[in-house]
Amino acid sequence: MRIRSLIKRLGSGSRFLRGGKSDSFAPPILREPERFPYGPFRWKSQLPPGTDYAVLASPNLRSWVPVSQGKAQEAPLEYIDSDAPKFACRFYRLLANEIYSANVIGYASVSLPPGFSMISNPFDSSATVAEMFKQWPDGTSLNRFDTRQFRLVENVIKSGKWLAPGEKLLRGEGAIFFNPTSDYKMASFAGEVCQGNLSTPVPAGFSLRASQVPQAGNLVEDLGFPIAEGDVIHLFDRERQNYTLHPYQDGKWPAGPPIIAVGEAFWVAKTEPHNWVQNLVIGS
Amino acid sequence: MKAHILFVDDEAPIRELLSLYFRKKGLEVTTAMSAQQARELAGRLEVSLAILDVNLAGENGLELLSFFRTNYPKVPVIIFTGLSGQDLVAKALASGASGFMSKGDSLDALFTTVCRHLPQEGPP
Repeated sequence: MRIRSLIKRLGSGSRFLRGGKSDSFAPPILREPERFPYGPFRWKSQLPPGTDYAVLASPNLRSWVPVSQGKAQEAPLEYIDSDAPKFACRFYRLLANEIYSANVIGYASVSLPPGFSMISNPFDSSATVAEMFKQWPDGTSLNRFDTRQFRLVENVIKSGKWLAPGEKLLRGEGAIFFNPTSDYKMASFAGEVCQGNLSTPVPAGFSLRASQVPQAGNLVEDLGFPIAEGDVIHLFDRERQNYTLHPYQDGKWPAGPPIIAVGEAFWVAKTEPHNWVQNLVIGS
Repeated sequence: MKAHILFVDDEAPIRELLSLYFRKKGLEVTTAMSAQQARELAGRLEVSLAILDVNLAGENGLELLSFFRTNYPKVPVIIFTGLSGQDLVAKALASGASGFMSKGDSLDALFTTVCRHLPQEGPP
């Protein structure tokens, strides 16, 4: 009800929501994104006191709705979204003094059933593995694929600590996560959505890859992956704990096209090296 | 002493995931990406059991099976493949394979098969 009345008051076609230009006002920057486990999402920004603003949210980076509005105070703006547990992923930006924030931030939750999952971090973030995966038990592991040695390199929790706590899972990098418990768990990635031309090198042979953009969909049609004859995509079925293979033959997907979730990684067997270029521009 | 598995498969996704899983289950695992690498490793390691992919690049896994039967007759060999067909199973078993695993099987099922064929030490 609160959001509905907000939309009605602002008017979806108003100049305020369209984001017109203002020469004397620097676009605000959203910072310190933090997702509390199974709880709210929080971020901060700083606006000149007295500035009118609206917080816009989106589940997919395409459709945006205002979820809050106000007038900036002296203190930094702190936004807490207590509805975060209702969304698998959600993105935020500010519209202040008719200008959109310089960046978009958000979070994405991934389900981690018992056993293995192939995951990726779709955000720019300074968070370390120890910060991303808190309060996990001994035996939890994160494995990245070393393309020079052609093997997985393991980081594991022993005696309550990650062996390499400062390791980072960079944007678009895939990894295999192991949940040693018998419980379904969740993990959340949070950070800034990277925009512009994003290039991921895909070598010939096997590599573990993921989208640099936090969007779900058909790997080729929606995410722009450069598929070629003879390539094979391996997705991992977390429920059944085995792979599903998607070979690309005669210009078709005999087993159906690979559909990728936000925060999901995949193996690709590439016949020729290629650059995977994704272009993300979040417009008004 | 941990049972030591030599796992030969040129497909990184299944090789790496399965070896990771077996290690978590308490086995020692060494991986090889080719038949040549497998031959070299077999000469250096004390292998308890070998798992061989059928479709290795450059050399058939069944040929590698013959190598093991000739040079390491006491080492059980499990043939591992994404292919199906009774002919292949019969041929592998006739060539001295101890067992057969399908790439479509669950990780638990694969582990059960390996434990069943481990000599003496049994499951870890």
